[in-house]
Amino acid sequence: MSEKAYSKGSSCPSGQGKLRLYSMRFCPYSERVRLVLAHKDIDYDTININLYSKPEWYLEKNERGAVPTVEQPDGRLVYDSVVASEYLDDFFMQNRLTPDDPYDKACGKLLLEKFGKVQSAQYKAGFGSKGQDKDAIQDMWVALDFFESQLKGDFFGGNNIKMADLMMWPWFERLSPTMELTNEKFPMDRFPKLQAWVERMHEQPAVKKAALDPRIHVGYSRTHFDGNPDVDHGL
Amino acid sequence: MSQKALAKGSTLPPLEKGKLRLYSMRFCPYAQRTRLVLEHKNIPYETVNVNLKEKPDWFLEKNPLGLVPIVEHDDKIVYESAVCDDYLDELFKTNPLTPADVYRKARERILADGFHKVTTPFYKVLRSKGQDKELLEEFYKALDRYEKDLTEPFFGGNNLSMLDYHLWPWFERLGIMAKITGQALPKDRFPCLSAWMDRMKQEPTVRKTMFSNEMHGAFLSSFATGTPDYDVGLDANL
Repeated sequence: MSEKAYSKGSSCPSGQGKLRLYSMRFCPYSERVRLVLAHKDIDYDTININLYSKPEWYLEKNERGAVPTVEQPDGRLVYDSVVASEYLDDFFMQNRLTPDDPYDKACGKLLLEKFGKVQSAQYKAGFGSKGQDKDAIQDMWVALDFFESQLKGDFFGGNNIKMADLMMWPWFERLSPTMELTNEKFPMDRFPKLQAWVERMHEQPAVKKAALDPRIHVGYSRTHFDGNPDVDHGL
Repeated sequence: MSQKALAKGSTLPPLEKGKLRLYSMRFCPYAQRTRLVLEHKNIPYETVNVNLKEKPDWFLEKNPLGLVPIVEHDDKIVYESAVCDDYLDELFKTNPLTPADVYRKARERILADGFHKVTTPFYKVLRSKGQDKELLEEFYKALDRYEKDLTEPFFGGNNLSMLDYHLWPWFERLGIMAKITGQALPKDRFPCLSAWMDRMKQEPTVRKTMFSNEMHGAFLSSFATGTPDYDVGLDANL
């Protein structure tokens, strides 16, 4: 199935009897679900959506018009990224990502709540300011200090990778492209544990499968800065 | 334990081992969600009400966001109402509130996550003192989705679920909104929601945690002065 994004005026491709993910190659929220699908070895089809010229039929799948959306072969729909990720973890029992202990599960969710500050700072530093906002970079480091302090084991999930690790990964994947776009350097001395976690995550099969090369991220961001986002960049 | 809100400079009452405590504020709709869950599941708990304008230092140590509700027991702290509610439902098995069917659970989460589209105009209407008709229409438009999705007696189906409790506190406050705007929730536009509200008002848990329109009104008026009276109604028999 082609990876090229569907735009306004297109028809909805007919189902192949498989689970389907409506996505966009550069969207970090969509990547969360791709990571979960990869981690759990779930077979699925991807339909990429052009978020800048949305196909009319897509609003019937997700009235918010956002990605990601997961669609079962029988038409059942789930969105957005966190609900879809948890749904997939509930529906497919293998390689479980949700911690069994209710308190660990709650702590994972609270980590994600706090992560919003990292996400918004990164967005501001990159897309929001075309790489010009140096204060946003500093805000991102301050927000990351908390995560450096919270990383007690090999993963945020402890000894093994858990939902929180995958939910946060897409923004760490975009750290080096953000550094390139803003002409900044990642302060490794400030974040030794996070640095080690990033390296560990790069070795994870799910990350290897779902991640995009930093150069492609940079290239896409540049099309964005030019005012003509190319969601098919790199294809 | 006194229900009076503890303010800056107050001493934190010690929490006994094995006991579960809810940090709350009597009129906070988010904390009310968690109170509904605690009552529904018959979980024994004690309440410490917090003065959210003059926050005690010990409160900010528990939740740096400085918000209620917070659930605490045996050195474990959980905050954010949705996280607290799921946590309690997983920890205590009586009267489960999360749907067993994983798809239903996901669809209820979608409605829960989208509810900010209702609460945002809700507060705008209250802040405009009901003068802005466009804001009221914005609020009704956001409610249309929930009216459309309510095809069964409760959002949870034949019995109520977490989602019903998640939404209820704002519907409880529609009475005071009607007083402010001069307009009650139109039953012809919202027949299912109106019937659901009547049903919810019969629920023992809702009756236990509910405040009258007068009490909500008294708190809201004090809030508008800039000095909220978190203890309104405690001294009198209201």
